[in-house]
Amino acid sequence: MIHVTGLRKQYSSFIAVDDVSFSIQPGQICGLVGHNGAGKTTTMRCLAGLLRPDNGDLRVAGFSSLENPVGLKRNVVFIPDDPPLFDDLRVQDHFEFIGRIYEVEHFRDKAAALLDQFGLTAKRNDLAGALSRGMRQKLAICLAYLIDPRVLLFDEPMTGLDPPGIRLFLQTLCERAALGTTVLLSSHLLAMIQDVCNTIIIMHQGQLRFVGPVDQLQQTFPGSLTLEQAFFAAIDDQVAVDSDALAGEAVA
Amino acid sequence: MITSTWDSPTVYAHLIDLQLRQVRSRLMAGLRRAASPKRVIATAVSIVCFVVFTVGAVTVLAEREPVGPQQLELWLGGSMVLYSLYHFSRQVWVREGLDAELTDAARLWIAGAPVQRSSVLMYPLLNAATGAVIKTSLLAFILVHDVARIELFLIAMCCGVLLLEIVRRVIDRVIALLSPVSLVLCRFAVAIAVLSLLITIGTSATHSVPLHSPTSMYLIASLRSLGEVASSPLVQALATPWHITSALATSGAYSPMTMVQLVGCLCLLLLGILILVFTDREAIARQHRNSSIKLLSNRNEKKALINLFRFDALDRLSSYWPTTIRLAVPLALRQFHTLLQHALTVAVTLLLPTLLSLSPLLIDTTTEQWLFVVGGVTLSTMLLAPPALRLDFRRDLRRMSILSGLPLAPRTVVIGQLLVPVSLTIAFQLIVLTPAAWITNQNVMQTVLWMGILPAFAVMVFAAENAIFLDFPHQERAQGITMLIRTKVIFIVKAATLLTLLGLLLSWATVLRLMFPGSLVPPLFVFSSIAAAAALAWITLGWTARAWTRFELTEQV
Repeated sequence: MIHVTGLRKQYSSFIAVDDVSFSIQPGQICGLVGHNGAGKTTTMRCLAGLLRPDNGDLRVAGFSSLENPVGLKRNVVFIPDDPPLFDDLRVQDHFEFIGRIYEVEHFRDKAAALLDQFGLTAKRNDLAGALSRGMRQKLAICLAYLIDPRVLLFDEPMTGLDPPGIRLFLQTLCERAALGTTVLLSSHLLAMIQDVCNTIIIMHQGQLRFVGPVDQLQQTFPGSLTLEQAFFAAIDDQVAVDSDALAGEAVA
Repeated sequence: MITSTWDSPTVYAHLIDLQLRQVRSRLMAGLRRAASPKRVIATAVSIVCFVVFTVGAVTVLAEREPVGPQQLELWLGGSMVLYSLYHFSRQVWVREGLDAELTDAARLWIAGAPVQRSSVLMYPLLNAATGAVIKTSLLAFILVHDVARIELFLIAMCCGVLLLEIVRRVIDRVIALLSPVSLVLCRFAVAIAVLSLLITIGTSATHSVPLHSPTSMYLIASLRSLGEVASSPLVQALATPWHITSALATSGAYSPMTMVQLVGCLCLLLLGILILVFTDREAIARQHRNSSIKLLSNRNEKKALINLFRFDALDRLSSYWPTTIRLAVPLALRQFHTLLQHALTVAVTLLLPTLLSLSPLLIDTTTEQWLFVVGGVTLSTMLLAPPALRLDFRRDLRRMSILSGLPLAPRTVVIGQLLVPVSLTIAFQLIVLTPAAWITNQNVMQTVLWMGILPAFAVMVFAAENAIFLDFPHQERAQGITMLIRTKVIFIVKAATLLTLLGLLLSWATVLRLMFPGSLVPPLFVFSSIAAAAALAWITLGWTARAWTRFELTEQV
């Protein structure tokens, strides 16, 4: 569903993503982890067609970001950390706009169901600018679910959500993955990644350090007893050099 | 697969629907805020000022001699070119990003939606269309006596203003296409063009007024010269795209030609949009090529961080200051860092008022020179500095929650937020007043008086501007009817305040003359006036601090 080959992106003279290649299959939930500034968000923005890569081939749901950006955007939705909303629009106006621009069938019914599911029904007439951080996050998630794309990209989606909100989000995410939606989830919560994701990508300083099944990560770094230890081993420059060959096999 | 450039009409309908919902929502929010009991006084003052402005404008405009249609046609077209030149000269220095006018939400939900790039370009244009309608309505209000068919004027000028918005965006894309060398050459050429224009206007104005005339005559002559420049063959040649809109706006009666002109206006807009989409595509492609070339040559060397400014001395010095000021310093330093990022824009923006304020020194009537320089500085402080130097609360709407969480007294926050723009304005005042005082041989008392009062006035202006903002906040790039009314009302309030202060100064001088011997009056007047101005400034800061205390983000925005 997602095929990335040799992705490079730089800002001014800083290379944010350097020669990154990976593939994610339909129905997989893939965790994207790495330090702050590792290049996770840039990768996701390139996948969403919001940033033009400087180099490399990028295909999502069979659409190339360069050759058919509109086709790509129809099949992928990216929800960034602290998602920006139209602060001067009411909650229900967001559903109206997104439903129409993405040509979602029966979007009003779907919107009502999502509002109810995420406890936003009482807020439907409120301005987005007046919502709390968590409510904004829930609204953005609802909008992504309304579109029901083949690929969902979430950047730190749990920030601001309350425990029931987190549980509901993860539950709905798994349900959608079971129906064939591909999910790429960027997060620093390694325990959650271990619970929810079946694949993991580790990035460090713009480069790929590991891509493969979560349980294979610990095998790649045999000294690691936990996922956290394996993660630190993967981003450790010295250890990473030794395990490069193994990671390469995982990519293949 | 090669995709088409345009979306189906339904996509544009959805974007228009979004715009309408936003406009309605802003209007409702504005009305709700205006009706709030907390702002009943501010709302009442706003309504009174707006009524005064409208009645005043109608009274003045009714007595004006109508302008001939041919002259009006030339002015309308020429003014569009002059504005385009202004925008070009600004953009060639500032070089904002292509999508600078898109909000974060629009960048995610519209640029991220399955729509063509042309639709992403249309969204801010639709917003500009709302602005065009408002601007045209205002223009119609001013020129109602000069045009025969107001409905044709409204349609034509709306198209003309919208075309100007398109031209402005095309200019941005053309500048983005320039290579670094071409950009330098372009800056040089634009600087020469603007300088030539200013010299032409200045020369024409000075030649048309007899020597030793009052400065007001020179000002009127400058405006007349500006009109002449707008009507000149060169500017008119550049105004070709607006010839149809100007001709339609000033047409005297309906004729077959009217229909041709109407169709011509629509065709012009369509052509403008086509050119915009084409230049945008080229600009993006150029940016991508540049980025790829840079990627090839990039060795990704991590440059050592250069600490350009060290504040050790400031830290040592501030330890002796009162707590209110000392704690405000970090806030001010934050604003100062932002200022450094926009230093060039700020410098260019302040250059114009500096030259304008110093321009009376070129005339030969020494008695009026000083008065007009002081007047120029006062008006610039009041009207030009606040919109040019938005390094205060107005820039921080999205960071209000951080600011309100700081363990600082409201007055400290206000001082910290205003310190940089006020200091810059005071620097501007001193840069203008010092040479003016020296050239005009002003006595010490006169110099001390204005160098003491005007800085306090700067504090008052910025404090009042921010207090109003905190009571009636708006987004940084907000447009629309609310903003228009707001601008007019604030102008009236400022003018009324200035006149009141001048009246108070004159009254105080008269009182002192009656009470004290002649030799004592000047020093008494100067120092008491400065003290009163400082006290007023402090009171205005208190007003802003109160507005900041009452500010509630969720309620306000």
